[in-house]
Amino acid sequence: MFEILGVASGLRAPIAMPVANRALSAPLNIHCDHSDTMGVRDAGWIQIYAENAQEAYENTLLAVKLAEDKEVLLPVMSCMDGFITSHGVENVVIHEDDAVREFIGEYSFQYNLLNYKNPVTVGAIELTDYLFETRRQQAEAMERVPRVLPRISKDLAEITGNEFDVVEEYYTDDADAIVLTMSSAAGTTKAVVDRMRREGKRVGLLKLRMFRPFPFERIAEALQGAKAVAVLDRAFSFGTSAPIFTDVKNALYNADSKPKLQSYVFGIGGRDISDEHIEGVFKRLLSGDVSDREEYINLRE
Amino acid sequence: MEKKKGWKEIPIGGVIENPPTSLKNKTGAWRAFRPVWDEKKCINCMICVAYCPDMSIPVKDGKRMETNFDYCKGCGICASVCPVKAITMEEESKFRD
Repeated sequence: MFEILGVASGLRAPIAMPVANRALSAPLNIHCDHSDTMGVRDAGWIQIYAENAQEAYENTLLAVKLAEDKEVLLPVMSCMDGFITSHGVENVVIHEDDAVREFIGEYSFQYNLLNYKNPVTVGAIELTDYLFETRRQQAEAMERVPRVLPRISKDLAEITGNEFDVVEEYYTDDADAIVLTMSSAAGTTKAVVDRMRREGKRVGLLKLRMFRPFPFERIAEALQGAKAVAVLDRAFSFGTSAPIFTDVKNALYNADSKPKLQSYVFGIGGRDISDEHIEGVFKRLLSGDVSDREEYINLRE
Repeated sequence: MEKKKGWKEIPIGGVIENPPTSLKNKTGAWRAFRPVWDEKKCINCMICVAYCPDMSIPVKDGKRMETNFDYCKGCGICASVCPVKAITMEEESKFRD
């Protein structure tokens, strides 16, 4: 479906698409990793990721509104961990239909495809003379996302009580060691942070909630002061560094203080990541044991 | 030459607000082979009209007219589907100076 994703973003179709993240074949595997959405990260879609079912639900409401915003008009993937979140049983607070309907509102088309009195052509050819300009517009729309997001998030929070932010900082302020990850692994990491904090360890979690557009400045800010940071990616990017790690490193290039960075790949094909694994990551960070290699969590050598 | 517009001036998503601009693009210039239609052999079955992917075969009063060479790309489908072989494909260069 790779080319079709580009058609949706290129036509500026305001689609909100929930994605239960799943490993890509071959060999066939129906469990969670992020290879699918990471593989299409340049397709021009906004990507947001949910830690749990509640976030998956509320992120998807946000996705509709964000996609349809006149300043944006880009398709949005609302991602959740396949099986773990999409099929695991979890309590969810469902919000009032009327309140949600009012939040979403009525979408008014800029170009109504069925308006025969004022027809337009959609999906026509653009060659050497115009495609570059159309792509530049898409880049601009992505850049507008951080500007419109606070307004949408605030409106949604009036219903849900939960404000969406591009990152969630969990005990990062005074942390020496920070784990940066997305989706359900962030939940496990919170439990580990709680336990290690009780033991007096200065550890924290930086949960990434929006991957495209990537919140470079917010990440650089949140990691200031940390001594060592581990980025946990649930996807390979063969031939280069893992996707989030690459962008985090990019985010820190111009930062005043640069913590040591460790790249980990975990959870491929639904491989478990436990609290002990994450505690092990924190312990290595705290001891300053950081390598410049990509390392793997819970992989058999 | 028409001045091209910048990225801030064009509609988003490549939408064309004043269709059909395709009429301005005379794709007949791409043609390497020309369908030569023999009106005497033609039985006006309209099969070529239905098959022409560029809608380049006009019909008037139930009769097939000469191919519109502004848009005919010379694909040869009309010649291929004609049941009475009234259309033959010939080198376009023979018709141009």
